[in-house]
Amino acid sequence: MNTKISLTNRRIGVTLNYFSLAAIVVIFELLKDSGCPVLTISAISGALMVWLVSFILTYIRTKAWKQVHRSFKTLDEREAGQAYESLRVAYGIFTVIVLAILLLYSVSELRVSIVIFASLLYLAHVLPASFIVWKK
Amino acid sequence: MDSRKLYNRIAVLRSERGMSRKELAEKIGVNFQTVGYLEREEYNPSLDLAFRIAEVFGLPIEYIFSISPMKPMSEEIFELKK
Repeated sequence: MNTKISLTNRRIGVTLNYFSLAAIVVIFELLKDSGCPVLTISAISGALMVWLVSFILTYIRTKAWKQVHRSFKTLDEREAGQAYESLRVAYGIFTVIVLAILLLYSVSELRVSIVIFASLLYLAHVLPASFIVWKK
Repeated sequence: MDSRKLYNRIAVLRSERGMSRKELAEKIGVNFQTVGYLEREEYNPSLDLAFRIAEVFGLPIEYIFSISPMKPMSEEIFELKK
């Protein structure tokens, strides 16, 4: 992983990325039935821009995304150790988040929207990289 | 299990040979950042990697790695001469 970006800036990037992702989901869920598509689209676009910029700066420029998505054969022993630890932690966190969301949605009898689905899919991929960016 | 800290002379040996981190990394088959981690003693290499490093420098493994802080090489040479 590229560590030229300071730890503080990397942590700010991770936080911004998660907040913007949560904002996209909340805005979509709150405004989808509002009958005002212009407001929904513009609000989501704003959050999407923050998400995209923070994603590129935090995960692409640090190469953390690449590290957790490359084959283990192409990593050296230190990188493989980091990737293994991050995947282990991310698996635990992701499981808890998904189960909590499923429980919440089944109790409140809501349908899981495509935005929630896409966010969870993104989360599954980004959590290991977040762990590396946050800790190393 | 917490592993013990390993001390090493990689930085001194590498600079003695005028080798860059990238060159050493290529010779031992790791990312150049891993060489930095090794030199700062922030990462303990596997036995295989430790042997590869010893092969590159052409020295016995115990001369490069130690479980106690290592004396400066000049001091060791001086003691040997005595």
